[in-house]
Amino acid sequence: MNIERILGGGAAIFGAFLLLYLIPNFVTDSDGMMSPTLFPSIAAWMFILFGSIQAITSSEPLKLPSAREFIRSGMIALIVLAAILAMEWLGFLIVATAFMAILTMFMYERRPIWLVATIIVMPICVWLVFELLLRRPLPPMLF
Amino acid sequence: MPDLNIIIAGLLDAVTLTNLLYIFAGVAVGQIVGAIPGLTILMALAIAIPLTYSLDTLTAVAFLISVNKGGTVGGAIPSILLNTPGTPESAATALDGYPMAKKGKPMKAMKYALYYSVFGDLSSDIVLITVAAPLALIALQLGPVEILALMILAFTVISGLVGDSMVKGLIAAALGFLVASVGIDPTQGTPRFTFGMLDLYDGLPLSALTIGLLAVGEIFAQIAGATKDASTGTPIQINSDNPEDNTVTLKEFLANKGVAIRAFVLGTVIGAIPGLGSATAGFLSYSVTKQAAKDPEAFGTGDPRGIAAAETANSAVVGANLIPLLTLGIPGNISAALLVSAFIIHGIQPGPLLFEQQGRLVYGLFGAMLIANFANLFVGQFGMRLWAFAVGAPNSIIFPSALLLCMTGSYITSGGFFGVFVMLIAAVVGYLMRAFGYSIVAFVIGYVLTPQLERSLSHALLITDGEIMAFLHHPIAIALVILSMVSVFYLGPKKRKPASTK
Repeated sequence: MNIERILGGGAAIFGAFLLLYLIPNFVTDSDGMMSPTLFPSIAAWMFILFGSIQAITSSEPLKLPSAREFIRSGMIALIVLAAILAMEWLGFLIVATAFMAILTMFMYERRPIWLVATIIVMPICVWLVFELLLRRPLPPMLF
Repeated sequence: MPDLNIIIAGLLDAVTLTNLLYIFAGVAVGQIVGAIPGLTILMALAIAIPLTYSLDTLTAVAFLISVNKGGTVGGAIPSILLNTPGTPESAATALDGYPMAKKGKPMKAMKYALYYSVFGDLSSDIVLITVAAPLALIALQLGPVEILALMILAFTVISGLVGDSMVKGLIAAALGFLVASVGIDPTQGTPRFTFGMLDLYDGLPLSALTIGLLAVGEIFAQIAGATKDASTGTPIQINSDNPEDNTVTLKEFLANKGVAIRAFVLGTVIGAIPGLGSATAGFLSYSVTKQAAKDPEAFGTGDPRGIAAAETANSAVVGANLIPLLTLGIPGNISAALLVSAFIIHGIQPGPLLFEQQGRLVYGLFGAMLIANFANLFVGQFGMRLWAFAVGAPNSIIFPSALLLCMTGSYITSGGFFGVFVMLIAAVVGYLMRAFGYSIVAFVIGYVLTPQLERSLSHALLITDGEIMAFLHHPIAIALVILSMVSVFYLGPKKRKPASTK
């Protein structure tokens, strides 16, 4: 079975889950000409219908990114998540500097001048633009 | 239609010092971003929206449109210098631009691209300014039933034209419907999919969502795909020893006027149709010009007609794609959808009523667009040499910096970390959608249009008293629904080759 069919099947199952569990439990229905469940239900039926069509009719294999790229993408998502959580406590400047250092290393950059530009100059520039020029406060350090 | 005083006042609003500065800055940012392979105009727009948060509405929209216009010019630079399109829109430019550069005339090729791009863009803006107000008047005659049918048509056409298959396009649109329904229901005021979280009562923040989907998802892919030898930056020699090879004379420019005018017409028509984009216009215009030429074998060897055809057409799309947005409130493509989000941030709903209620703003916007074309010419004329260095900037500095800007922008627009979390989730969804071939364009258009679609359906049900058969009294709506069905049958089964038609 090719990945296209699996994705189609997955979409159809998600549509059914939406229709049978998520909409009844997480959409507050009320009387009126148009029920609040109408659009989520349309979306659910579209998942079921078009997911099924995809599952049944797809025959060409999908060209996917390599496993290395998937793993690296997952790692970047985790780095971003960690940065967001850390920023709540340590503030913008410290975390942004560490974040840029990790990302440039992740991209194999080793030239000192580019490292300084990315790790030191860039976070300071962003901070100056938002805090001073646009007067939009960025996360402060909590302690 | 607004009276002459409002039109003049609007046009003059665009000529303030602040607006001029932001227009020039927007054009410069767009040209730089367009010049950097891997960064797209959409990324630039998504990142730029938070920067406009504290600006006056006209200044904000003028800045964003200038970024968009600058991007179409900047995208041609790496196409010509590296045979790597800076943006998908400029892919057709590489076909003759790169061979011309290889002949030792990179500066001449870039100037051809700049001049024809500005010509296409300016001409299409004039068409927009001329036809938008009369079309909006016609649109005002349409009732909720007709608007509903029109939106259904827009959905089917957009889902059919973007991405690899219509079925996957419609699944992506369904996801857009679903995500847009999070929050308070607009007709009954009851919560949907809020899971008890107060942050979700207002729905998902549009700006953070689009930044995640359009910019961060792509940045993830670029960083993940980085290799050790891919991030070197080397300056590119662009000047030739022969001064004639560094300039384009008026005679040389006018030699291709027939090609440029045909390309402008094609680009404008394609831009006005929802779902088609600049890349389609560029390739279509290039192939039509080549077929019409007496010496088609000259194309692909550095022929200026090839650059004229591609650049004029892809730039003519920029103005024309605002026609469906300003007259009907339907974003014709993803750039227009991002502009909708900017409008909404500033409390404005695009559509036919905009001319009646915000006529001065609309004509201010038109004035800004006209100025942006001249700014594009001016900045391009002097900045080309500089942007050529940007082409060689290492990815290892570009993508981490862009990611930091995205996080900061999401934080600013949503006023806290909730938006940054939404951005991250949207980025993962966007990355997976790209990897599995689901159209992000269909998703975003579905997300942006759903609230309007819900209101139209609600109004349509009210005036027909819920009687489905009452729709038979609306022949225009019936015709539009039939057109939607035809588009499903016509576009549905087609498999598209991404490089040539998307």
